Amino acid sequence: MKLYSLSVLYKRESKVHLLMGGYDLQSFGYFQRGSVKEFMVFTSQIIVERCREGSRSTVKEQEYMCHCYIRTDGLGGVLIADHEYPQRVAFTLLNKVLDDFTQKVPAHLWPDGNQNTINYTELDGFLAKYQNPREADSMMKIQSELDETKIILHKSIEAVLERGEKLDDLVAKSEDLSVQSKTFYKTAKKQTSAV
Amino acid sequence: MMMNGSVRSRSEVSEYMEEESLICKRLPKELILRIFSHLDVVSLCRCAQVSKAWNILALDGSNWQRVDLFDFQVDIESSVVEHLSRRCGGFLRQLSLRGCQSVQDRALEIFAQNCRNIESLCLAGCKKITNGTCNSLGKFSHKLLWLDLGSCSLITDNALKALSDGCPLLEYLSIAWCDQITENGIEALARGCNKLQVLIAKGCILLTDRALKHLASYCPLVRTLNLHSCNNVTDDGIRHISSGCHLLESLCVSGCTHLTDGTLVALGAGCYQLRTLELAGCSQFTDNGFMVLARNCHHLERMDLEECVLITDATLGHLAAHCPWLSKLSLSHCELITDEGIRQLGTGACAPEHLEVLELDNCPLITDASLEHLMGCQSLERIELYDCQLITRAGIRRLRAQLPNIKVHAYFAPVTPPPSVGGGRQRYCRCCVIL
Amino acid sequence: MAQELAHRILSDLSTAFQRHPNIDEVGFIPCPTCQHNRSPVVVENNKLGIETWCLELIFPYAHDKVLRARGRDDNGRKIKVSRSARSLLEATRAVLLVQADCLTAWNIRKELVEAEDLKCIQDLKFAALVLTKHPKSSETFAHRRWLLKQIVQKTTSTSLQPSPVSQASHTNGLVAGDQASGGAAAVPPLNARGTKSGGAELPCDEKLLETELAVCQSSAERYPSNYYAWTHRAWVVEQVARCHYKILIKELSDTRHWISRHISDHSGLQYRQFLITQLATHFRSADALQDEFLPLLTAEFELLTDLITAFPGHEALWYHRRYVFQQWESVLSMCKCPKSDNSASSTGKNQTHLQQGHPEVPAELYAHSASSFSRDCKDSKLHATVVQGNKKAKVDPAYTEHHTLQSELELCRNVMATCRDGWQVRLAGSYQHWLQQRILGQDNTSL
Repeated sequence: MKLYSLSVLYKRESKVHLLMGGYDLQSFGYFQRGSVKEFMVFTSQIIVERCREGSRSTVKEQEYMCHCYIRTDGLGGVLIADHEYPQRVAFTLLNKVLDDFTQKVPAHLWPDGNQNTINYTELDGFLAKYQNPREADSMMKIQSELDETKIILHKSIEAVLERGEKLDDLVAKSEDLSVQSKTFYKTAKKQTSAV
Repeated sequence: MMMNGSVRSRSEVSEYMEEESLICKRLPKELILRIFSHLDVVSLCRCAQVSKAWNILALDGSNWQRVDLFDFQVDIESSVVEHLSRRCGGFLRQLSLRGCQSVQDRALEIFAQNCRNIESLCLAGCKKITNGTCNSLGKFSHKLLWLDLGSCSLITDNALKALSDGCPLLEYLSIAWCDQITENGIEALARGCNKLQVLIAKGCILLTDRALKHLASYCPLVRTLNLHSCNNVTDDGIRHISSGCHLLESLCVSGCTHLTDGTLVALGAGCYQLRTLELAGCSQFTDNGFMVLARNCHHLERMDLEECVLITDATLGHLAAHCPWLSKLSLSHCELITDEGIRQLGTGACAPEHLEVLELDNCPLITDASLEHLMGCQSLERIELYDCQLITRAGIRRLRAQLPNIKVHAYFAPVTPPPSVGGGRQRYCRCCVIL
Repeated sequence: MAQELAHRILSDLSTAFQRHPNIDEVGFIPCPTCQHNRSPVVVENNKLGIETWCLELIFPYAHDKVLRARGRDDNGRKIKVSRSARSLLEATRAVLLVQADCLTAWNIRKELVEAEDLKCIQDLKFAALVLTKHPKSSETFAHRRWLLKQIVQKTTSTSLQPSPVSQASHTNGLVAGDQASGGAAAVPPLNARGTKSGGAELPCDEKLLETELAVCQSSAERYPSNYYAWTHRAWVVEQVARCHYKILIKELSDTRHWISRHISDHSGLQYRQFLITQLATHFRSADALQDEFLPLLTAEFELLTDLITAFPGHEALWYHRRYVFQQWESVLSMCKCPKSDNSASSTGKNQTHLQQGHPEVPAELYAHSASSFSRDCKDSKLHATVVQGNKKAKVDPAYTEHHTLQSELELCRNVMATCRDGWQVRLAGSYQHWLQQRILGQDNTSL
């Protein structure tokens, strides 16, 4: 079980931007890490864009699980993990991170904030600690409140997209993805479809 | 002996004459034999399978004067060499067993006894042979002119002593990568083989300046000397060579990292005939050394200066001014070279007619302007530009327009996909079985 | 042009390997076209990167070189043609970095090793590098096994010098031995555990073993359910470490962490099953089985209980539990009825080892080892006595057996009663069913 990325985003009037991200990409090939990271950001952003405020959802994309929680005030968190990572712990972590973020970063910085203007360095620590979900053992016990809210499960990113949208097109259009990452996407896709 | 062979064969095959094809009816055996004598091993062995008559003719020793078994290296066992030497006897003058790793001393002893007229012998890569083979050669092969012992790494100084005693005519010797050879072996060799013209001692890492001193004092005819990677050699050694070997035309000291400008000065003082000079990895050479060299050695044609990292445009200026015959120049990894140096080369005496190959890969300062300066080099066949990151596709296109036959080597992948490299079938035959 | 460029890139690769002897990973850099006049071969931080645009150039070029180095004449005889060792190394390297399952290329490298143009250790290093890009390449693992055999063969023929007879059988076994039997059979059996004569020395170079296990580990990390890697690991433990007791124990403890982090991956668990099965053969006496083997199984049960409750819904864990239970059962049946063999017949192939002479076992031993497992199933003793009521077998061993069975059933009931994960409930149900089938089967035989 692995956690790959943990990001905090802000959503207002269906526009989404990244406030801060933390990554653990050790398990990827050295030369892939750059592209993988770009894709994690890209995916996180798309999911927050397409999910409603106040919702919890999990999107399965190939062997990855993207857990997403958007609060009603527009602050959202996305945790990308593998399929073994317990979903409840994932959402516990997202809750905790968003609370912590709210405490340490004043809300007026959110609308125009980005990774350079916001000073919040806890994400890597959270990622490292929660790599072992047992760390959250105590959390697992007080999960009852979480169970109240329903978690929507999507079988793929395509399922979150609006009608007529295609992931391929979004990738092609994206200005945040480098040429290298787009090539990476294409080859990765070719490989999975071949399998 | 040749007459004997053919007379015998004629009588033996007469009974098959009826079935013979036209070529055999019309051509006398002597003529067929003569034709066969121009064929190589593979063709001869194929002919030997045509008919009994041809078998006898094809395997006649007189056809086997030059034998190269390189293509069958893996299959050559000692017994093949033994059979071959019995079959060829005194006819055999030239034999190559390059890469025949299974061949051992015993086979070559039988060979040396049987084929005493051998002149040229290649044993490169016959890794199992030892001093024993050289003892046999010294004992029987007194006509030996040309010997390649490259990568026979078991041989030692004693092997060279044996050759020195028995092969006084030796002109060419390669002991490349025989890394047990020391100055003692070279001294013995030089004393006995005064006619030596070529010595390839690449990778003989124990060789010292004293070895070169002996060579220079006993072998004045040396034209080619290869000391690649002989890292103990210093300027003193080269000074000996330049004072003793005035006929030197080709010298390789690539990888001799202790050499300094003293070497270039010494060559300028004694070796005016130098045509080929390989200095790759000699990183201490500077413009001053090349100034002296260029002013004295006007016949220089091929120079490898890869990784002579200290040289600048000034060296190119000297070469352009004094070496009109320069045809191949490698400046790979000479990182201080700029467009200005190439401009001088492009306007130099060698530029219009002689400069054929120029290697500039990993010269990071070179730009498209260099290519403009080279447009007058009508003989330029190839230019290497790998990793010259300031060079553009457009620059290369302009150069090509000017010199349509030039090969430009850069990382820009060719537009067309690579052709599938199928290929003609390798020539295989059953030579080893037949032999 | 294309040829020359491909040639150049191949020599760039060689230069990269020369300048950076410690390259430890290889990867492709997605890059559709060549943008700059710059080598597509990059080394950064000891990682070798190859830009993808050049693959379609170098692969056909190198592959052609490899094929040309191979040819067959009309009689099917192999003929090697004029290629220097260096150029063969270069070509096979390029081919294998792109296509790790090219058997011809590996075979050429085998020949180079035999001709001493390439050292075994060097090629092991290269093969490890290939596995960083192609972690489940079966041909690469096969080539490693060949290389390891070469090394083991050399060391056994030079270092070990026992009596001349066993020396001879050694080399015979290795030279003539085929893939499977290798030479393990020829090696004198290790000291049986239980005699406490101490661990015999490791039958191999410790560093070699360590490196090999590390290669397996990293391959297993890089690709999920990498059976190739785990099977290879088992081979290494069997053929290189000769199933040495110390190594088996160390492996059992070293892989604990891995399986805790890969709870749905059956491949690692299967490897543990291999280890446990092999360990069982080290205990020759019932005493030893009791004292040392049962605690291992107990620990395995505990690990599983822990993982199953913490991470519900993973089939692999439940299946592994079946295996552990089977082992447990077979050991107990061994000790319970030393004079009758039939109870053991259904429970596993290592029975033959276990049956060799074991004395009566004090009953406390069972109770002790079993209770440590069933700590958390407090009321299971009760069930045990109830269920075993009509059995006339010796009380204590039988009690222990059912104690465990009961605690297993208890676990299932617990899960089914409390767990909200539907899949986990189904898995528990299926395990319960399996257990019940076994009880029925056993009752039938004992009646």
